[in-house]
Amino acid sequence: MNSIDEILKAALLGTDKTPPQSVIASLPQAVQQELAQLATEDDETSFLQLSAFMLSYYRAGQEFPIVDIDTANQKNTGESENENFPPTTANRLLGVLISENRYSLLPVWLTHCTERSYKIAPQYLPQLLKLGEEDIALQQQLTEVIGERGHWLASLNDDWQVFQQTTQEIWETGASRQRKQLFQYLLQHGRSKATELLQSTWKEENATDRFDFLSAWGNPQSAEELALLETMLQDKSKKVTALAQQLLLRQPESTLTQQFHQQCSQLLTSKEGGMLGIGSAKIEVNTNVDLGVWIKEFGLESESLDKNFSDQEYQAFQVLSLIQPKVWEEQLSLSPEKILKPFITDKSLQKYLPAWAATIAFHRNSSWADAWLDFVLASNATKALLENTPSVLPGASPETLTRLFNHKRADAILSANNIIPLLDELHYPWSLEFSKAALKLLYHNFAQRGVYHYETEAFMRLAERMPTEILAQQEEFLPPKNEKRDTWRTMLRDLFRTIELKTKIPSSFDE
Amino acid sequence: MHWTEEQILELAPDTASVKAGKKQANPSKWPRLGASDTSLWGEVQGSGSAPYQVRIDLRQIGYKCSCPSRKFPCKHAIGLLLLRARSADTFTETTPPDWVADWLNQREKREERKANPKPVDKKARQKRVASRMKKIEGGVEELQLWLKDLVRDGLATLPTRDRAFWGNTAARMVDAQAPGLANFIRRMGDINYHAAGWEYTAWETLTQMYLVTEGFEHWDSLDAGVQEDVKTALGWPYSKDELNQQTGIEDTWQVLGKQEFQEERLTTIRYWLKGKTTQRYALILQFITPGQPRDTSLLPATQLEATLAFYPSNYPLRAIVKEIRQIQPMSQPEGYTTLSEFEADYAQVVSFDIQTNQLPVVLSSVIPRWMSEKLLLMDSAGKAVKVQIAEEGRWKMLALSSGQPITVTGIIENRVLHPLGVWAFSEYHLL
Repeated sequence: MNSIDEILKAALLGTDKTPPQSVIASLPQAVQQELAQLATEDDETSFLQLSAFMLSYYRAGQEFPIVDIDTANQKNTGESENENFPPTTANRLLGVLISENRYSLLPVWLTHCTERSYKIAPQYLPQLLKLGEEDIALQQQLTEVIGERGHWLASLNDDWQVFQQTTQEIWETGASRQRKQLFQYLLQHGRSKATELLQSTWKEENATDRFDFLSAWGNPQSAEELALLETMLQDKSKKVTALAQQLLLRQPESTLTQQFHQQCSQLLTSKEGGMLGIGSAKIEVNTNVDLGVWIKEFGLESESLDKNFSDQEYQAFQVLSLIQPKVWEEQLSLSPEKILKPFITDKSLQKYLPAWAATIAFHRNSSWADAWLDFVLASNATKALLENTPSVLPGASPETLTRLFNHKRADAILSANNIIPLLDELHYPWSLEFSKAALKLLYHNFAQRGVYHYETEAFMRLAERMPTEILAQQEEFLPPKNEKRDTWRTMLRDLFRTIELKTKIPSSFDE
Repeated sequence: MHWTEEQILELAPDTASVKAGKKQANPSKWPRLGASDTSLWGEVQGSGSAPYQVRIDLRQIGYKCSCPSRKFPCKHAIGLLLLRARSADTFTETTPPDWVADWLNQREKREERKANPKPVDKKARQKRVASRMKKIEGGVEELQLWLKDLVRDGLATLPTRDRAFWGNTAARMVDAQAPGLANFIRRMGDINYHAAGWEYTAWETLTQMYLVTEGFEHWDSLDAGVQEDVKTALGWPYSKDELNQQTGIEDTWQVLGKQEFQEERLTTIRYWLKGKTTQRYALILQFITPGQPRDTSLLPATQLEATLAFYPSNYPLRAIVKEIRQIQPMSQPEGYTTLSEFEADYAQVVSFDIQTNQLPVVLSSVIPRWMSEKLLLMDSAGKAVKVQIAEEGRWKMLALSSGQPITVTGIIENRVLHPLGVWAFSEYHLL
């Protein structure tokens, strides 16, 4: 409104320099007539009257603008989409998961949502899209359930463009971190697609990425994957080749492994000891077997720097660390216990014990890990046996681990430094007995010390494996009321809260 | 009535209370939990040997906890409400124990006393009024001379004025028992004279001051409503006792939302309400100093069968709550279907009251549009109003709309909408 501009100019200069009559004369006639009816005693009063009059008109006369928009870019969604939202309880639970930062439970909730063909209720879309920005696994799950509404919303925000991309596009154009997250996700939910993508760009990937992808891809799951892995033995990068070899060594069907085992089969020989062949086996490590080819093939050390080992003994030690323990069961016709026993009790063989721990850990052989732990739990467990036990544990069966956790010897093997990483490696669902044993161990080690900040994420992940029934046992693992132990108390309550919410998810969809 | 977590956490006095309240919402901390139609109760283990007793009145939204916290509601009350929202089945008792029933009875008696206040001494009041009018008259005369000096010299001199220039005149208005005029002067002193558009702000404030003084000068010729607006502008508060004498207006009042402002140690909360039948808007103000309990009987996204008493005005907006009879979840608010309709009513309101800068509004059938990094609400005629909202609220509004018309509530100030909530999918969503 130009009149206001004229008034402001006059106001700035003052009535001494700009008499109000000159301003009034510039106003519309109707306004001038109204103003003429007011009594005024001086220029200042006249200007103030003019201001009061025009201010009212100005404020009352304001209108909102008409905006010309390009409707082609403003998609009109929602009409074609059925409003198939989850039940109210499920939505409320989603709200709780988001408000309490229980993001590890979002995939569980989303899985139930997908299975029932629901779409995310609109009020939760922005928060979920924001979480999916940095988490490709979450983004992949969300893409299934955000519906047209969610895709439309994502199109308006540059930060959410990843929701507009196909898996192929993310793989081809995404940042390294995004591609790796995508790969990890596909390995869980569509391994063949992950393998296909990997093959399609293998030659263009740099060495670091090839190594990282191969590490994630892990053990081949089919004859085709085995064949693919064998081609990676020719890779330009030594790190990649070494990793391929390691993965192949875990596959008895692979050519490399078969040749390796065949040529090293005489490394160990046995003779049944005792009267009439009954009792402990006598095992010999044959250091005269020529292992040179494999020492070179696998980049092992040909010379010993350890005064307890000759060069041949050290070569045998390294090769023993790589051969699948099951091979020796067939070769020697002996059980794991009978093979291990001499290496525990015989002084001349004890130096090879770490090699057994290494191969049991490397091949994740459950029966051998259990056999090892049987010796640990026996009354005459040696110091060397105990020292080498931690690496064996991830391969042991839950039943054996439960016995260990409940045993007094657990203190000699497990400490606050290795318990949480060990438990974090056990990705299978836990039984009630196992969960109780694990919590008892955790209480024993952490109630006093507390769980440190860097351990919290792994600690909270344990809730994903514990069964619902553990909720009824909470009190057993809380410190007595007269003891402070606030950090432990808080962490444990948080853990149980996660389990409680996880338990509620399925039934919340059953309205 | 089911409260959402969002609504419950709105009650918390600060962020720390939100966090602490969530921690309390763990059934293992509560050896005793009970609920009836009108109340919740529980005993919660604290750091002492005896558990704290927590009671909540669901009829009038009140709390009492035996813990020593000065925060209101305390973390235990918040935790109890959250527990109820999340795990209602853990509330096994149904009959309130004595320590709950006694408290509820006391609250009922207090409400009855509030509804029947003491009568006002009219003679004493008249004497006070006359005395104050005399003092204000002197202040107004002085202010008008001061305003004329400013107008004569020109607003261009304002950026060079020092603090004493503003402070001295403001102090004299306070002495004249016109603190409202002092506020106007302080506002002019606080203008950022380096910012674009300062000239309009200074001119508008100066003009408003002039209107108030002219209103006082012509007091006898003013309508009663305009007289009250002039008194408010002068800073002459209306007595709450007098307000309580009013019959008040009964309606189903929808609590559209609240705004909180912090100025040094004072927290001001504005609750915006709309009557379903009368279609009137109401503003309830709360002023809270540190340590003072909040009145949390007004919960956004609810509607109250209640009686409000309005402060007299030419455009009555500010009110107090006389009585609340029932609280329910909010139903769909009705509003303007076009911005042109709103413009017409807005013109009338500002002509009634020159000082009104903020106006509550319900806009039905508007579509949020995100264009060139700005959020607009467009009506069916293509008119648009700019929206001022935090990023999180913006995306929520767009998601709820998805390009379809929705109902939005908010406050319009200087032609910009500050949203309070959205009605979509049969629910009111706070922003």
